Amino acid sequence: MARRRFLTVTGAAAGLALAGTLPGITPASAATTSGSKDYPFTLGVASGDPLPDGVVLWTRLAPEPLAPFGGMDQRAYSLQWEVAADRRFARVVRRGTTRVAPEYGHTAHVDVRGLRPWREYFYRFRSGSHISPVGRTRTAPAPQQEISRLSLAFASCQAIWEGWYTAHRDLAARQHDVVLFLGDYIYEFGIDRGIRPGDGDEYQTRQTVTLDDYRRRYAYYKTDPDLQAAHQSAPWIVTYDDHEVVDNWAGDNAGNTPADQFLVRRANAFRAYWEHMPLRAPQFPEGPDMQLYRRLRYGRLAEFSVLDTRQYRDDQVNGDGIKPPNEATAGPGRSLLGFPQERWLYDGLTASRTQWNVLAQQTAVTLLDTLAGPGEAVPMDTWDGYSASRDRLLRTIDQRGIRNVVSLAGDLHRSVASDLALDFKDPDSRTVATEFVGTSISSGLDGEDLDAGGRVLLDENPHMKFGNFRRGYVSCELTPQLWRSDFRVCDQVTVPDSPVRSRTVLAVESGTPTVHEA
Amino acid sequence: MKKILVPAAGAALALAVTATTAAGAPKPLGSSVVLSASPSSLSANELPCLPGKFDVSMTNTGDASVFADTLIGAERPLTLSDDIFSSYLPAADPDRPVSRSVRVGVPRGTAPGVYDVTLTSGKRRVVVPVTVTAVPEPAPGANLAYGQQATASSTHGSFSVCGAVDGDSTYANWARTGWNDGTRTAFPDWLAVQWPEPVELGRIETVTYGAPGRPATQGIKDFDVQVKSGGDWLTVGTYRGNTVDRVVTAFDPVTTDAVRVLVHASNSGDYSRLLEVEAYAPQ
Repeated sequence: MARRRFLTVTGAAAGLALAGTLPGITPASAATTSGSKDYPFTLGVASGDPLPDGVVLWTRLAPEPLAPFGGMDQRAYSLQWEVAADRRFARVVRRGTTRVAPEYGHTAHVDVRGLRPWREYFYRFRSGSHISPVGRTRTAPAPQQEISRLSLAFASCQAIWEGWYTAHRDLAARQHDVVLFLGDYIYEFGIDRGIRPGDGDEYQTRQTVTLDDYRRRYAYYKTDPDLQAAHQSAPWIVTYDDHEVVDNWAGDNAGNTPADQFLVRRANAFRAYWEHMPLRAPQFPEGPDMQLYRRLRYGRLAEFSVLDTRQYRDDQVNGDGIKPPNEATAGPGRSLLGFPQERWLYDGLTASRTQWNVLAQQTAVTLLDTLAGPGEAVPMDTWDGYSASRDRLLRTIDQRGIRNVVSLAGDLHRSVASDLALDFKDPDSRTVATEFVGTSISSGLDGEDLDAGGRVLLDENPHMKFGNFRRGYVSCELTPQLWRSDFRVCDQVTVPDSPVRSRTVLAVESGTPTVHEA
Repeated sequence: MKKILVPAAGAALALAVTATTAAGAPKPLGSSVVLSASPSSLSANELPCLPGKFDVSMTNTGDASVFADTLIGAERPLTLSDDIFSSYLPAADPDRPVSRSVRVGVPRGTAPGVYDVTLTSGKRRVVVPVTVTAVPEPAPGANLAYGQQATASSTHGSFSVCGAVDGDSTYANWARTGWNDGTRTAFPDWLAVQWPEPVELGRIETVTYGAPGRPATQGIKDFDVQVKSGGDWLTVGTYRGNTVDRVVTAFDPVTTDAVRVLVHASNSGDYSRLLEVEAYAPQ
C-alpha cells in the first residue's frame, strides 16, 4: 500500500524532485535501484537534532546487515526521501534525493530544512522499489516561541545480550516530542552468550576495534524492532559514553594501549557512531576528533546542553574503580569536560533565557558515596572523580543565578534523583540544581527494586531522594511551572514482553531546585 | 577529509561527505595505501583449534589521513575468520601500519594442496598462498589434544576457547594462551576437547592458572575430569580443594572421542581458568 502511494505522489511531482537532473547528484544517481533485490531498510529509520526549521533524517541501506558493507556493493547509490505533514503522505512538504556511499557505510544523513517550527512530520525513504518504514518526527519551536508543554524521554545503556528492549517499546508508544539517548548505545566487548538467540555468534565474541567491527556491532543492535520503533517514534538527540569506543576511555587514554594505537580505534569508533546516528555534518568526525557537544533549544521553555564527558577529560586517578576521594580527585587542574567545553557550558548557561536549562550528559554529577558507615568511597569515573569540575559547575550556577538547571545522566544502571547542593557534606548547603539519572534500558539484567548497593547509596547520600535498580527509562513532561519525571521500569528484561510500570513520578517546581513527589 | 554540502530538492540540504583532494576531485580510494600480509604465505592443516594465521596490514604512505577497506576472500573450501578489514589510517611519520589478524580454517576432507587467500583494496591485490598439509601423525607420547576442537560452556570475550589446546601451558602467557569462562561467579563451567575419530587415552593433564609460589590461586578448585563413554560422561578423576597448577589424572586405557573438565568452584571464586588440557595415550 505504502509503495503505491509513494509512487503516486512521486509521479505527480516527478518534474520537481525525481527527474534525476538535480544539482549535486553524482553519477551514482543514474542507478535508481538499491543494488540489491533484497529489502535494504533492515535497520529502520531515524531522525534527530531538531531545529525550528528542520531535522536530520537517517537510514542505512543494509540488505544483509551483518555482511561486509551490509550486503551492498562497494559503490554509491542514490536514495529518495520525503517529508509529509501527515502519516499517509497526502501532504508532502519536502522531498529530495541523497547519495549513500560505501565510505559511510551506505548511511543517509539528510539535513532537511524549510520545515515549520514545532510541527509533527512524517518521513520515509525509497530505494528502487523498496519503501522504508515511516518515521514520526517533530521540529523544535521557534527561538522565542512559548510552548506550554514538552514531552521528552531519556534513556541509556542498552547491552543487547542482557535484556530485551521492552523499555524502548514503551518509550515508542508514548510518542514523545524528543528523546535523549545518553550513551552506551552499543558495547564494544566480546560476549559469547546472552538472552537472545543471536548472542554469542562468532563475530560477537570479540571486541570491536576496526571500523567494520563497529559497523557490524551497530547493525546487530539496530536490527532490534523495539529499538527501531523508538527511533521511529520521535527525533533523538544523542551523545555517547565510554562503550561506544572502549570501557572507561578518557581523552587519549584507554587502559595500557599506547595513545597512537588507541586513536586509530577511537577514529574507527567515532566514524561508525556518526554513520549510525542522526547527526549533522558539524558532528562528522575528523579522524579521532568529533565535535559532539552542542546546544539545542526548545523555544523559551528549554535549552539542552549536550555534553561530551569522554573526549576531553583527564585520565581517571587512583587507578579508576571506587576509591576514597583525595587530593587527586579534587585536583583543580583536572577537568571532566576539558576547560574549553566547561567555558562553553558556563557561557551558554549564563546567556540562556529559557525556563529550563538541561544538561544532557553521561555520568552522575551527584556525590555517590558507596561506603556504608563512616568514610567515603566514590566512583573515579563519574563527576566524583573530578570534583573540581563539579564544584566549578555548581558554583557557576549559584554565582550567576542560573535558574532551573536539570542534569540528565545515565551510566549507573540505576534510577537516581538528587538535589545538587553546593557542598554535599553540609546539610545546610544551598541546593542549586537537580539531577535525574535514568537506569539502563537493558544493561545489568533484570535488577530489583532496591539492591544492597542502592540502599547504601540512599543511606549515605541524604541529597539523594530516590533510587531504583530495575531497567527502564524516564519519561518527562516540562511546563513553564513544573518538571515531572516518570520513572518507567520493567518487571523483567530477560524475558520478552514483560510489563513496564511507572515506579514513581517526581517533580521539580520552577524556581525551587529540590526534588519532591509529584 | 572535507565535508561537502550538496544541495538537493526544494529548500532541503542533502548531506554527502566524501574523501576529496584539496582540489575537490574525488581521490581514488586507497591511493596512498600499501597493502601487505605477514607472513606472505603459510601452511595449515585440518586441526580445528590450530588455524593458520596471518596479519593483514594497511599502511598509509600519503600525507593525509584516510579510511580504507580491504576485502578478504579464500579459495574454497578454506574459511576465514574475517572477510573485511576497514580502518582509519593516520598519516604518520614514520608510516604506521594498521593490522588485523585473520585465521584460516581448513574444513575436514580438504585435499592437500595450495589454496589462495586474496586481499583486495581498491585496485590493489595481494595473494597469500596457503599450503594445506595432512595432519601429521602424533609422535609417540605426544599430547593428543593439541589443536583438536575445544568447546566450552562459555568463554570470556578476551579469551579463546582454543587457548586450552594450543600447546602453551606457560603461566606467563596466560592472557594470550589461556581459557577463561565467561560467566563470573556462576558455576559449573566446563571445557571439552573432541576428536573426529576415537582415540585411546590413559592420562589427562589439566593445567590451571597460578603463579610461581602461588600455585592455582587463580585456578580451579573443585572439578571432575571426564571422558565420553557411550554417550555419557564418565568421571575418571575427582578433585576438591585443589592447590596445584598441573593435575595428572591416570586411568585404565579407554577409547573415546571426547574429554571434559567440569568445574564446580575456583579458588578465586569468580571464573574458571585453564591454561591447557592435555591428553595422552596409555604408556
